[in-house]
Amino acid sequence: MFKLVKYELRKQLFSKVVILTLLALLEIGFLVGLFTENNDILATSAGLFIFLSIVTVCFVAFESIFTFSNDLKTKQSYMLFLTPNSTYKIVGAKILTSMLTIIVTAAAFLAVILLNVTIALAKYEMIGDFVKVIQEFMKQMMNAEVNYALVIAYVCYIVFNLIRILIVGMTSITLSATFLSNTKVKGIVSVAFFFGINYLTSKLASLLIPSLTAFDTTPFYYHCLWTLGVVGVFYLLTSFMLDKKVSV
Amino acid sequence: MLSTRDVVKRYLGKVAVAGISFDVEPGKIYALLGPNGSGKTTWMKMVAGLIKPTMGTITYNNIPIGVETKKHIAYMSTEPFFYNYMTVDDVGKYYEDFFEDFDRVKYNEMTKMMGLDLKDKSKNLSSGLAAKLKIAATLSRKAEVYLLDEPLNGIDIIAREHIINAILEAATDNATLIISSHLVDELEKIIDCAVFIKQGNLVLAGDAEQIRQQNQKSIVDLYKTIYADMN
Repeated sequence: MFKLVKYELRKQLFSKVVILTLLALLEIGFLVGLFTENNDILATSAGLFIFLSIVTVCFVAFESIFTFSNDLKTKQSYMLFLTPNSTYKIVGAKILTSMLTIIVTAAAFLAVILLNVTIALAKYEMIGDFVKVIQEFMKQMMNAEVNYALVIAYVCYIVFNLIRILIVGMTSITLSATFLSNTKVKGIVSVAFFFGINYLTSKLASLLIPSLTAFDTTPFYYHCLWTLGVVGVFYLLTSFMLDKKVSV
Repeated sequence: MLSTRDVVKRYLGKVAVAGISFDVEPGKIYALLGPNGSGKTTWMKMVAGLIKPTMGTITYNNIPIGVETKKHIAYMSTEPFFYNYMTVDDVGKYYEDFFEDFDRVKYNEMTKMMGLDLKDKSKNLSSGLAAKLKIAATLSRKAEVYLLDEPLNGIDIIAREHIINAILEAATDNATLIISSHLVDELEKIIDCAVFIKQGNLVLAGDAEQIRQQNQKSIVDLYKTIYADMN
């Protein structure tokens, strides 16, 4: 499994180097803006941080789906399916790698953003006062405790939802490449499967798990557990389909 | 022994393999013959575990094709299949990581002999060099069965000799080689057995010498006769 994960990571190494470079450049921009007290640079890099963190995490998830699709639909699939590894191991390595890269990317951006906020708070007292006003406002209006724990919980929620979408995407691609591979409607059916299952899993989550609130982080973690359950079920389904109908 | 029983493979209503049965004996070189679309590649891919038969069974030493048989069966496809980022060296490392029977020293010797540089990127290789890389990676395994799909495709006449020599070196008493090729005259010199497939059906299979004697024709001439109506 370790070797499979190693090569999965290697396949996507270039994009990760680009992401790291972007992150480093942004951080340099932010720090230059902060210490030269150039508000334009500071505001631009802060805005770009938020924008790029969302785009990058989505890109990493998309890249994982694209790599999976490539590994099923191009001749490069032979690199995996000729090796003496079960489909359960191959799919497991892919899912593990995808989850790891999404979580690490999100964690890296979140850590840098939180660090920058901390530095900015230390340098400009007025930002601290502004944050306190917002916290007080949220407490009065929504009974919400806005703090780092809540921010982290929200980010976890978004990341785990992305992982749920990713695994359903992988299962849809597998369905199209296996049981539906000899049918003309494989494209339509797998797209319908993707949206249908995503809707169903969200709907089920909303029925089974308490609604999200801004004053209690517990439901966020229930959502994370729910996502892990969904990942487990769809991992087994994807591996089973490939095992029974591998056609690369 | 590699055994194929009543194997059928259908794609979107098209029959690629139409219920063929035959056995492959160990320690022999087989030519798998037939024009494009006759089902040779489909059969090889089923033996390699890349696709599943619609019906029928394929076993190696009585074990159905799967993870265990992949440890002993080496397959080389017609098309290049290495990851784009890979250098010749990376391909060797990859095979070493996944195949216990891979001989890295032999691989380095073969790639050198074939004029490949370990630092060359596989995606930038000419079609001839890419074909040599596939051959080197596949034959550097000490597999029990080698499936070589069109190994001489796109290879110049001098390199062909290198490849045929490499194939003959791999053909030990314990190893079985199954080679598909349109270049029947090149294969005729080295094969022990021949299998003729036409439109997914097995037409003729057996010892090459016996086939020649029974039909009073070389394998090349027999090929022309069997497939005369297909051009």
